[in-house]
Amino acid sequence: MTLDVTELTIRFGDRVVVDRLTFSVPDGARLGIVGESGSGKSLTTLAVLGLLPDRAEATGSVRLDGEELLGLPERRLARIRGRRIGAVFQDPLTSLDPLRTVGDQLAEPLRLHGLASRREARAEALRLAALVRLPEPEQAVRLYPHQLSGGQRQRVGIGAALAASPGLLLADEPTTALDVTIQAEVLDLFDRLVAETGASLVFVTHDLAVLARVCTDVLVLADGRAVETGSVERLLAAPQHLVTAALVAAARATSWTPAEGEA
Amino acid sequence: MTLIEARGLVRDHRMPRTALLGPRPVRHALRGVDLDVVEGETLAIIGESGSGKSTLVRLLLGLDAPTAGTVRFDGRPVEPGSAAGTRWLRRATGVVLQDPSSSLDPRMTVGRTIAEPLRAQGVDGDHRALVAAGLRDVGLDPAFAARYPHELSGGQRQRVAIARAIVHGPRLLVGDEPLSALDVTVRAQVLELLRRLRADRGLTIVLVSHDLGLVQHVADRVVVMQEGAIVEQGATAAMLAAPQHPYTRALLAAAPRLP
Repeated sequence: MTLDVTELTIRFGDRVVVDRLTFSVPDGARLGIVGESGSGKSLTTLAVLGLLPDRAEATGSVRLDGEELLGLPERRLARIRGRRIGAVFQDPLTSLDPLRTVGDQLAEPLRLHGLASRREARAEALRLAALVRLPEPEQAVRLYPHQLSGGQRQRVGIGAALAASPGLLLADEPTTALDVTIQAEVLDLFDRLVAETGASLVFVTHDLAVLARVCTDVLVLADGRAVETGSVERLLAAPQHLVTAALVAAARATSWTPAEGEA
Repeated sequence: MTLIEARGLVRDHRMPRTALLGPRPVRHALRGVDLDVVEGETLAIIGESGSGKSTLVRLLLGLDAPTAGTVRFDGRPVEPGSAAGTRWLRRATGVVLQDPSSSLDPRMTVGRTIAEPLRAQGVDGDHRALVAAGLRDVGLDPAFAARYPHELSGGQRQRVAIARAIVHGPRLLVGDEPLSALDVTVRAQVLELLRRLRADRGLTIVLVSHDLGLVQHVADRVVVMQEGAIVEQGATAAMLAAPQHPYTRALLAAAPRLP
């Protein structure tokens, strides 16, 4: 599925927080959006999902396979979210409903969009639990979110996002709240599922090392503007813009590098 | 010289009953930890959530009492319980937490926030001058004393938190994930600041973190914890180059790195 964002501008009153942002995600591409706090990366994903707060005003264009999403009534957006666009957020504890079972939430998009009967949804929940490698899927679907670890909850979030086989997956800092070994497992899961489903991916993060693990292309945001875009490889090796160079230098100065000769 | 000597630290937490008349289950947060921290070194304690690293640090700071075992700070036993009994330890230690926006009081000026430990511990001298010196130490203009936290960026707030932690001249600075809430360019600055404080002030630093980058760039020595026990420790460079314990290996393999 193709995403085309053109001249997207987001304002809170007089304050412009995203400024004439233009980028494209071709079918099957994996774009990472990186930037520091306040750069506008999360607002951009919310705009694509039609989930901006009421105070925000968005202009420009957000097209999914050519269809304009910006300005669509909520009723129509609700039919797109979860079905054609799947979303995964940072904290699965707040995005999951504590009162409903894992199975119910895995299959929710299918029920919501009328894609499965109650019985089919149960079978689908099992399939999704296995797909995201929850341990003992038959038991897992009967548990409640608080009975899972943080990594397992994020697996549920990813399973639910992929339930209706969306053509575009949006992930906003999906591993930031996780321990490093769990983060690695969840990133591997992303990598595998995006490859298997062929979905296009937009992955928002502040961490270039995490981005490099799942994305092939990168868009650098600063103060609501696109400062640079290109392949991850090229951008890390030869950043063209000062902001990107500072970001890459800081990432190199703070992230760990194995000693020479280490894998 | 050994600044902190911990021996046989055990910390059990009694959990709520799971059955009406059953026994209360016990969770072993620490299972017999021995640790020496040498004066002037920077020690990193790494491990995942629930590995016991924060519990260990709380015991070292006298913020919590062990179920068994002892902690000595500069040879003196740490006996948590009364405020009076640990006042000397408060004065010898400073703490920086993860999120500067929740650790600073929004209603207090930066100056008052930084002066708080001076007042609480009855430190003699010109507090205003000490606050100004603290601000300079962390690379902020002394004029920042008149500002409020909401007027600062995330990096400036974390600098203020560090200034507050060192203003009373502690011998030990403890950081619990001090970089993890910060943007990457700010991280690089605060990391450099920690290095400079160690060099200029001879501070002993204990960092609790799962950030291998921070560990690699700042720590002299690393302690790896898993399930309430120390599973490996050693000099940073040697351990990162040749981890021995399977858990340390898994941690290193999992850490994201820049290609």
